[in-house]
Amino acid sequence: MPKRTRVEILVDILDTLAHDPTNPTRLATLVNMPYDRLKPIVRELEAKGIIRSVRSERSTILELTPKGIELLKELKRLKKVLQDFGLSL
Amino acid sequence: MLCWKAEVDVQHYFASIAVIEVVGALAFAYMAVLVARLYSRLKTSELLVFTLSLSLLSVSQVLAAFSVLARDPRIAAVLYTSTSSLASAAFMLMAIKLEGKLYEVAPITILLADFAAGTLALLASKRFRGEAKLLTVIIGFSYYGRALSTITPPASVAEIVLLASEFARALAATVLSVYYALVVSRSA
Repeated sequence: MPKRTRVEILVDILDTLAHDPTNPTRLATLVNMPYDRLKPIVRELEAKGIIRSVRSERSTILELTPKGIELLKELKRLKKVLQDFGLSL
Repeated sequence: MLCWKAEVDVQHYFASIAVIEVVGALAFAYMAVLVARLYSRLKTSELLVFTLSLSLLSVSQVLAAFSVLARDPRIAAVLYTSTSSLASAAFMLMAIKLEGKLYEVAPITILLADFAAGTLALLASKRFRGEAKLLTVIIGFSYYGRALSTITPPASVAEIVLLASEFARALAATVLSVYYALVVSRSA
């Protein structure tokens, strides 16, 4: 299986969170990525205001912000272009 | 009558080509803006490279339109040549998906571009005089040196050839521009 590009990884993360806000450990499983590799990406997306973590009593849930929803829409809009030009999503 | 009709047909052909080129340029520019917007949010190098490729293709299309419309054959030729140079830069960026692959694609592109630049510099220098002639000849040969460095097998030799050529080119180009800038400013 070819290595996913960074754009592909980001779409996987955003798409997963759009459908199912979840905790970081489960997100790592859902996007098929080791937790230690996912952690800095999540931190970066949080810093950019694309995702946010909501602390509940038992765990921390990651979810998309309105900015993240907008970004995912744009990524999906450009999906065909990025795919056809070799930045496959 | 036939000749006049042929001329009108050729004009229609050029106008149609120019319109097609402009439409293409606008479409590439539109996509470049969308991808740039995405880049501004995600900051991934892939998107930056893709934005640059699309922008280069857009400018290439604009120049192609002008090359069709230009009445002066020299301007048309310059614009026409620029279209392929910009397109080759854009396609080189697209061909290199990973930084490590740069060395598989770049040599042929650099070799051809440098060889063309060297030959054209030497051709142009035939019409020049004085310092301009000497310095343009140096620039021409330095481009050949750069081209040679891409096909010189031992890496250490290639490195020396490239560094020497690039030094000669940079120096000659700077001396040429500064010298004539000073000539102009002194005579003002």
